[in-house]
Amino acid sequence: MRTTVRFRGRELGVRCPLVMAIVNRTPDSFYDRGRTFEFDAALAAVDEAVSDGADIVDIGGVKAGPGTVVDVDEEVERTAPFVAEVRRHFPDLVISVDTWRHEVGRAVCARGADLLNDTWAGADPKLVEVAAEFRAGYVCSHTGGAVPRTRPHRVRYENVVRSVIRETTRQAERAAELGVPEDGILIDPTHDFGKNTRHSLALLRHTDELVATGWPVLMALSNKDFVGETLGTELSERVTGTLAATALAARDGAAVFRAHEVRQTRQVLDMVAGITGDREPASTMRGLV
Amino acid sequence: MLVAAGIFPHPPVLVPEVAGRRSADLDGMRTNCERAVTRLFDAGPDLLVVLGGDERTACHGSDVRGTLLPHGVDMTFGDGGVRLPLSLTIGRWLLGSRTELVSTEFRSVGWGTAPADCLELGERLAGLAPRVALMVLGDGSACRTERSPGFLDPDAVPLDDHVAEALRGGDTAALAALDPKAAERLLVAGRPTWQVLAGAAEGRSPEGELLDYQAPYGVGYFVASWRFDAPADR
Repeated sequence: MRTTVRFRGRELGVRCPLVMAIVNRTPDSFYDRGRTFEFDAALAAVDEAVSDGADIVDIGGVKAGPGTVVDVDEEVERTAPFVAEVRRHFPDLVISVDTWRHEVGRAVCARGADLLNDTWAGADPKLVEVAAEFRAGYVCSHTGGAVPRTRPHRVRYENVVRSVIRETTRQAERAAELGVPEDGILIDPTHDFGKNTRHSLALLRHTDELVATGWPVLMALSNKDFVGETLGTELSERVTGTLAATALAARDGAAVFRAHEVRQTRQVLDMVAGITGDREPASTMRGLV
Repeated sequence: MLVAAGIFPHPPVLVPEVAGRRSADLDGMRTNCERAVTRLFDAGPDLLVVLGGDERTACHGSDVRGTLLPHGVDMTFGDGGVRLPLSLTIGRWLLGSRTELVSTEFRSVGWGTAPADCLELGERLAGLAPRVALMVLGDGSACRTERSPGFLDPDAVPLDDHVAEALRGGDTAALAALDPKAAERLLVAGRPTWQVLAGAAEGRSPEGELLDYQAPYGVGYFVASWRFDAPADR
C-alpha cells in the first residue's frame, strides 16, 4: 500500500488521510452558492483552509450540476490567474483544479497547478495527456459514462462496486502508461455522479475493496445528495452525515477527503488515525503526570 | 382484438419501499394505477400483453422476474427465469399476483424503434388473441424543470400536455405522430410504447380517460385507461 503521494514534486504522506479543501470560483455551486466566487474571497478561503489543516486545495470554475453554460475561456479566466496567485502565496501547497477540459488543464498547470481532478471521468480524453505532459497528478473518476454536468436518471449497474473498480483502475493504468507519474494518480468512486443514493452508499460500504486496488482512494463526499437523502435532511444539515461517512471511509483506508468543512474533516481524520494507531495523539497527559 | 388498454408510469420510486419516507407523495398515483389495472381485468381479456421500453425489442414470455437490484434496491417481483428491464419490472410489480388470473406476456420495444415499426408491432399484438388487454408502461419528459433529471427544456411541458390530451381523448393519431427525435432529446421514455398502443388501437375509436397526470419530481407521469366498444361479432 502506498504511504506517500507526490504531485509535481510536492510529497504528502497518506498514513493519516489528507484533506482536499474545496474552493469554488463559481457563482452557483450547490453548497457554497457563490460565497468564494470573487477573487479575494476565494483567496481568503484558501488561506483559511490551509490554516484549518488542508493539505490540498481543489479549485473549481464550473459547477458540477446543470446550469449556466461556462465556456473554456470563462473557465480559464476563473481558474488560471487564481491558481497563479495561490501559488505565489503558498509555494508548498498542493494545488488541484477540478475540470474536465484539457484547455483548462493546460492553462492551470502552466500557472502552477499540481493535480488535475477530472471529475467527469475522461469525458475529454486529452485532459490526462495534459497531466502527463506537465508530470502533474491526475484523479481517475467514475460517472457511468455520464455527459459532463448532467444528473443521473434511472441509472443502473449490475454491480456498482465492480464497475467503479474496473473503470477507475483502467483509467489509472492508462494514465500511468501515458506518462502521469504513478505516485500522483488517485482513484475516486465519484459519489452521486451517475449514481443514485443506494449506489453511493454501496461504494462506501465497500471502501476496502477500492483501497485493495492499491491506488490511493479520493473520497468526495462533502454535503452531497446521497448524505441528504440518507438522513432526510436539506443542504444545510448534511455535515454530520458527511463526517460519519468520512470516518468510516478513513477507517477503511481511503487516502484523501475532498471537503467543504476543512477543520471538522481534519479533526475526524486525526481522530480516526489516532484510533487506528496511525497517528500519535496530540498530547497524552491524562494519568501520566 | 384489443379490448382494453391501460397506460402507466414506471419510475422505481413508484414502489413505496424505494421511496421510503417520501412514498406518500405518490399514494394517489398508486391508487389510480390500481384502478387502471382493475379495468384491464374487468374487460375479460384472454391475453394480457405487458409492454415497456428497453434497449431492444423482445418477447420475454411469461416466466419472468423483475428486479430493482441494478438500481441498488434488493427487491424482486416474480420468480421466473427471464429478467425484465425496468419498465416491465414496474409492470410486474403493479400486477402482483394477478399474473395468475389470465395468460400474460411481457414484451419490450426498443427505445429507438421507428414510429412505423411501433404501429406495426401494435397491430400484431392486437391480433395475438381474440380479446387482448394491453398494459403500456411509459413516462413523459424528464426535462420539465430546472430540478428535473434532464434539467429544463421549455419544450418538455407542452409535449407532456399534448400526450396527456392524447391519452385523455384516445387519440391514436396524435400518439402515432409523436416525433422520435424530440422525444429522445426531451428524455421521454414513453414514445415507443405509446406508438405501439396507437397501432394496436388503430381504427377502434377508444374511449379514453386520463386518471392521473403529474410530475412531482420533474418527470411526467401519466395514468390512463382506454375502453373499446365490444367487437361487432360478440
